[in-house]
Amino acid sequence: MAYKQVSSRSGGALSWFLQRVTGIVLLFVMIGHYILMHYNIDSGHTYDAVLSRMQNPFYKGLQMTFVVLGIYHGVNGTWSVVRDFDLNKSVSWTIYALLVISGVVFGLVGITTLMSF
Amino acid sequence: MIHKYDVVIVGAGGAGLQAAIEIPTESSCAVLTKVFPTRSHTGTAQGGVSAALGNEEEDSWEWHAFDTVKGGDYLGDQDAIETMCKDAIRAIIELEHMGMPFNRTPEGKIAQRMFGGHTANFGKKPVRRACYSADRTGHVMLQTLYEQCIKNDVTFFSEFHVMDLIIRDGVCRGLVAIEIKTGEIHIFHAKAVMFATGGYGRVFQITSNAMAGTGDGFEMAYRNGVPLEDMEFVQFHPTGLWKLGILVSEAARGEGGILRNKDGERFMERYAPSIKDLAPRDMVSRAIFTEIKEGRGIEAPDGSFYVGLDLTHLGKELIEEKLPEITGFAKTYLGVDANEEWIPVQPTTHYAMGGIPTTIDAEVIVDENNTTMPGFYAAGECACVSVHGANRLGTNSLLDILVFGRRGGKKIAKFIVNADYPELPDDASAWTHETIERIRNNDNNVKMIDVRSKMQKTMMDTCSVFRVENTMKEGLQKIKELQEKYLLVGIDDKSKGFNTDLLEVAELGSLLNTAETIITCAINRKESRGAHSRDDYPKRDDTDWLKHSLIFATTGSTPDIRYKPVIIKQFEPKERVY
Amino acid sequence: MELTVRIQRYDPEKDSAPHFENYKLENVNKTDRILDLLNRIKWEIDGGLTYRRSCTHGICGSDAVKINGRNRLACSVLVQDLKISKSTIQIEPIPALPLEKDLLVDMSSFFEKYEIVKPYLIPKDAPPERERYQTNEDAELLFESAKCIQCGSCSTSCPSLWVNENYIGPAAFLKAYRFIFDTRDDATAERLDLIDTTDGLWRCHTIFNCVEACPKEIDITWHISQLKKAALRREI
Repeated sequence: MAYKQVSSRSGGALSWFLQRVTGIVLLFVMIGHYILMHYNIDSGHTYDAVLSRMQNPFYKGLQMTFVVLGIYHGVNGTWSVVRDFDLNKSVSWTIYALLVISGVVFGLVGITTLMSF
Repeated sequence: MIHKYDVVIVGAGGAGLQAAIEIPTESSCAVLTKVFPTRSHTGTAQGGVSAALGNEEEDSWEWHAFDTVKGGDYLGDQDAIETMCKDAIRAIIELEHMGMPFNRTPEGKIAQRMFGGHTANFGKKPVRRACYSADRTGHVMLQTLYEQCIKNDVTFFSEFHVMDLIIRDGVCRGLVAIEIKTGEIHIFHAKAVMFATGGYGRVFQITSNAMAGTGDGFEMAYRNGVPLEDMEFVQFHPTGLWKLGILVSEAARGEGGILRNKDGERFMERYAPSIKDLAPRDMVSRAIFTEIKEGRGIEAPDGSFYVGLDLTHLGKELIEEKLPEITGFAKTYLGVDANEEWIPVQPTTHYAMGGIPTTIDAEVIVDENNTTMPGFYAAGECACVSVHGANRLGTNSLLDILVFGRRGGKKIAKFIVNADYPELPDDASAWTHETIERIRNNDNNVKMIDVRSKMQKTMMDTCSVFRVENTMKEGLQKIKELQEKYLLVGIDDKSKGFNTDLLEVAELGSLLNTAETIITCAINRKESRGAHSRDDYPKRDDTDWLKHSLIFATTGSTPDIRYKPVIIKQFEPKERVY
Repeated sequence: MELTVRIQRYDPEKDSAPHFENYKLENVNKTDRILDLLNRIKWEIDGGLTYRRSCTHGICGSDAVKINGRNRLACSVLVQDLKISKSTIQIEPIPALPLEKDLLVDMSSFFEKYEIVKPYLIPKDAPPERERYQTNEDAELLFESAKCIQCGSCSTSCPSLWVNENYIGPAAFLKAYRFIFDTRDDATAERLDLIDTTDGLWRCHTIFNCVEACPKEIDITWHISQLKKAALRREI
């Protein structure tokens, strides 16, 4: 038989769902980000302006969410693409590990940067 | 390679699958089919399957039995018809329990619709008896039965082309098949063989039958000394798509469709005043040909003629819900929008009423005294029980395969318990080897396609809806010449695996011998009954011809024809008017 | 009219690799089916041309091939339905399945996948004496999926299958849908377990190739979405 059945549940439903939820959230956050940072010079892009904005806990929280969701969406999306291919176990575990580590590292970098304000 | 199975079933259409379901899992059973099971021709059935469920209006199995007897012009065996019509109700309920998706009534019961020749109260008015799933009834039935076979873990040998039966001393011992993928010859040694090999529509030029419908089962039985019953009765379905012959279900008329000639006249009113367009198929086919002959057909750009099937008044919604498939065919193949225009139709070769004679338990009968052959069974279109008599009613073929496929399966299950494997002869595959060698070694001067087209045209010209002795005799002569020519047919493809070139030639052999039995029996029966309509003998003749014909192969050039009485029970033959 | 049919040929007993051959046909009608052209080539020019076919009107599902780059049934496409450049029609086998000979591929893995979704009704209770009741609306929920003829056009047009031969594929999902959404069936969880897997539902990225390829015009992606929703519903 050419076909090998993988019968274990993959938890694919949840990651599929979260990918879509994060996608929708990111879409709106992105729009906000673009309006504020790229199309609206008056909002102020100097160090002082950014610093003062960052004192607002709501704004800081928003940036935090942006980082976490963005990284999750990116890592999860890449992993989902990787899983489309019929790779052998060691290769896919290696990629998985790299993705998780880079996600965690970038996440930490992002969060510590935000916290430093 | 030699395989050993308690039961070998040939054909994976409705009858074969239904029989396989009945074989207990502790016995070994193999189903051989030359196409993948879900590709079987049962899947093309459209309109419905009848049972007197009475879900839509009052109905009874006796009315159904009467309609079947009358529809078959009193040639059907009434014990078999009673068995079928009584068992129909169980058969449909069982299919529903297996999960077949049906259209439903507002209360949620299986919906039913009208069909040709099905009436209430012994012919008083059309009745809703056909259970259906849009116009894909056969398709979902085949799927459902195949699903049950997967559930029961039935062993399939798909793409195995059966070439020969092993019958010695009146006992069936197995069969010989070619594995299409490799070209290897396999012998299947069995206690019981069941043929559920379907029809022979491809004998004729215009047919609704699949290209696989080459009459292999009929021919194999006949070649091995088993007679064929009532071969003269060939059903022409009145509404095949013009030129292509693709089936346009009678359900179209069951739902209110009307046949019209070039003047727009509803001509069936003249031929069957009481049930009009819902008259049995033989009558409608004759009516269409008569209209065309008398100049009231619609002329096509190429000079041929057809009549119109008018569905324009039914409304888009009904067409989409209940007749999507056939209106799709009209659109795809003829570019006709059935909501706006009439569908061009003409009669098309559709069904074999005759076939391998069997008892009501699918045991094959080998003579006029109803002697059965140990180990050989047949069901479905290739068999003749006979429930369809001289003309089958629409929807009764799906019923036939369910009822007699199951009965055969049950009978086999009992038979194999005490039966031993009959001895296998040394020369079991000799004929198959010789045939293959001959085809391979012939130089390719005579082409398969030439012989086959000539045969199909000959049968269409001489032995279709209207028949006359002289032309039929000329036709028979031509068929005999073609049989000679067939022995010289060669092939281009000399490879072993998937040699469809070779198999098409083998199928041509089946077609030609089947054609010979059809036309020989048609010449022999000197009356008009059901689908067999003779210009030279226009009346039904119950004194001399209320009997089944059995054609036997002989060593000489002319086959032997003998007769078997028709079993009459509660319905005495009467004149057949609608 | 005159047409050139360019066909991929491969005879494993002779050829080391597939190659194309051109066949010139005269007197082609625009209403001829592509299957009619294949038949003419087989019967008149080269008897060795190998392909599957049976019913000739799109119900048996035998003759799925790639016509001008798209998976279609040879018997359901007419010459006039094609945009023909340079009077040439190109015919190849459907992709992603092992090639056997000419236009014929090994469908066994396709059907094995169909079998793993438990393609048969599994009711909890013994059946009643008469039919089980079902509303027409509930029955109609199944009709579109029940139209499937297992021709393989959808699964073999799916990029997810091209890169991963273990992907269960749209045809088998459609069969799973047909039972999961049948009010008479009680094995939803069991069946979802079989398709809510790494090689299952989540490899569908709504590419819609299956929908485009389906000769029965089934909206397969919609059916797969319903399955995804059902699988998700039990997680949250």
